[in-house]
Amino acid sequence: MKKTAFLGLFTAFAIVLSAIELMIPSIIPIPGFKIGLANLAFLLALYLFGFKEGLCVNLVRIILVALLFTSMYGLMYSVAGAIFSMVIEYILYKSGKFSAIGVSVAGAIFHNLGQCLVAFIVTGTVALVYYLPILCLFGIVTGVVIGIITNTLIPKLKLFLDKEPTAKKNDILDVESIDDEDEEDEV
Amino acid sequence: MKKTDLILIFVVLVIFVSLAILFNHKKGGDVATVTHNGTIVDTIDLSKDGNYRYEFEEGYNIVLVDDGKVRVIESNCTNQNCVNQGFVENTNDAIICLPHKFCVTVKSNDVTYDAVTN
Ligand SMILES: [Zn+2]
Repeated sequence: MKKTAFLGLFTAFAIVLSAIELMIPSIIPIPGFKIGLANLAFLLALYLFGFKEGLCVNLVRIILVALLFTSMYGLMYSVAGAIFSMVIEYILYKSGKFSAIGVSVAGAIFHNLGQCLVAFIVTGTVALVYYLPILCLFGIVTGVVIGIITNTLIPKLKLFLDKEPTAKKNDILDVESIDDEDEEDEV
Repeated sequence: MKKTDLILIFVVLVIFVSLAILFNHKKGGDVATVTHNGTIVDTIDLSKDGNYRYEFEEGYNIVLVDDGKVRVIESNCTNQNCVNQGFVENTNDAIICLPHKFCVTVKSNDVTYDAVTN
């Protein structure tokens, strides 16, 4: 129950971050590229619950954002960026060698690589490659910031998640435990 | 923050700063190549001002050349990103209209000469 609530919260948070991102004017003359703020929600879900949950948060965000604010062509960009960044982030996270900062920085870079790849496939021009370094340099900055936020939030959220159920389970045991079962198994 | 994080950040910084320096040629271009779906459909001389209209099955883009700079002034594409991008003038700058698979890239003549002579 608590997990479902959290994931819903993260998804809403991710959509807000995406909306903010859309309002920031593009730093390079290729509008449509995102700096990847919404990655924060994915990282929180990944660190707290796991890859599957992070994936859900991110995919729901991408689809909703495409429906709410952007076109289907924007969807392509986001999906490519998200898949690239999620895969590398999961690998680095699993390796256990990096904190959220390293994970997030690598994610930001792969996010840009994915977007550039799609733009290259769609337009067939390599011109975009010239913007990759500057995109990635900005990505490193946002990556570090998001990593620091994740590093500080995770212990607090974990504490909250571990503490609450015991206190609450007695009050609302019967209603909540039903939808609890199917969600909780693969963490 | 772990030590590995710092190493990672340092490595990617070195890679992308050097790439940025490598790619950063801020010199004005002589021509603009217009591509659709990856194939070159036109080469515009930037020394002459003018309007150019390109029509594809996806829609149209109107390109304006003014004082050695180039921009898309009008398009019926869905997002208008190409129009909002404004003028570009430096070599390798590009205006991309993803919905129309349309791209205008500024080139310098030396490059085209090299390509021809080689
Ligand atoms: Zn356009």
